[in-house]
Amino acid sequence: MDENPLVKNESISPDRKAVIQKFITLGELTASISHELKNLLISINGYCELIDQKLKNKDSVEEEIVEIKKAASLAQKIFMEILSFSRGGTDKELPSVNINELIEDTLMILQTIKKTTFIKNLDKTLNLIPLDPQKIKQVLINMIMNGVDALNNKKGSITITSGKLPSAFGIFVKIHDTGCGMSEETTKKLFQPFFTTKGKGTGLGLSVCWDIMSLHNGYIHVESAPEKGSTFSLVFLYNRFKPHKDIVDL
Amino acid sequence: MTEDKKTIKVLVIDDHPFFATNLKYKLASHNYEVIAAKNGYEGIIKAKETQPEIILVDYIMPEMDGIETMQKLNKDPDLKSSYLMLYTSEAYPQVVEKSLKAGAKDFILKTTPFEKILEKFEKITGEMESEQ
Repeated sequence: MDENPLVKNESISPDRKAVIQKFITLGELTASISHELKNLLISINGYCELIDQKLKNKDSVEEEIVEIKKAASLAQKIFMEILSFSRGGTDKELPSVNINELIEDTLMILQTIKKTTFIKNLDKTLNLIPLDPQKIKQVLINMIMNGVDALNNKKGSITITSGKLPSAFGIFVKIHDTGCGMSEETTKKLFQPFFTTKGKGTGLGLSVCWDIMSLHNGYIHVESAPEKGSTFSLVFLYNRFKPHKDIVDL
Repeated sequence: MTEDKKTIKVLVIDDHPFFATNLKYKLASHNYEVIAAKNGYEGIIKAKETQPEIILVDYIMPEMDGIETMQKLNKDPDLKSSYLMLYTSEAYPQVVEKSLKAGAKDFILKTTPFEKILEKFEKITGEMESEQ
């Protein structure tokens, strides 16, 4: 197992560990993002060369201009999402956010992982909730990347569902993968710091996610079985003191 | 009197539309017809419909990647005469090796100058003609 000495150093604060973990996640995404951006930039440059030739021949160039705009706009969105993710959050009062928008933004980065099919099943009637968008994006990226890893390079899908909890206690986001699943024993240890089943993992991703969810008055619920995939539910409660007996089984 | 030269069909399977558009424009005056497919599924259907002499397949595509697409094209008995090539922006040795195992006969980098691509196509089609 590869170990990252920085994230295992006990003198580093949990906040710093979260930042380090975030950049490790970004590093893991680099290959697919750079491939996508490279293709978009080759396309933009190539369309410009085509326009040059077509203008010399007095041919129409409208189609090329439309395609350049599309490619540049997609590249810009991917860049903006990476920047926004890497800058991190602030200590200001939490803004009220539509969680569906965070899911859409997160998928903008992750769409570069082309082998995986992402299915969205989002409840459009969700209330806004106070949260730190950058930190929750970090949780979403971690959760979805774990799902992608569980597919083991095989074809599969990740379904992201958002919805309201019963009795209006809060909202949830479920991330379901059709991957290899986990044993009961593994599931129990998942949120322990430094526990990992991945050779390349630091074992900090899920424990950082758990801390971030706790700070948001929420928690993570896991259902999994070997060869049957896994479902991670992010549960955001409106009120810390409400009982949640009936919302554990989503 | 010159004999009419047969039009060579090139199928480009790539989710980025530029790469087919570019070849379509540049090959138009060289007696080539370029057919575009934006993913592996569409590529297999178009390959069977058009029976292209040359098929270029991108490596990373949504849902069905280039390797799986090439495996399926290579296994299809109707497409035995098509010359299958990986068409990629980065030719990592392990990717080239995988694509050769999947049935590709060669690879072309997307950054290759057009003249070199044309040279390669002319060589391939020349060999195809001499085999017939």
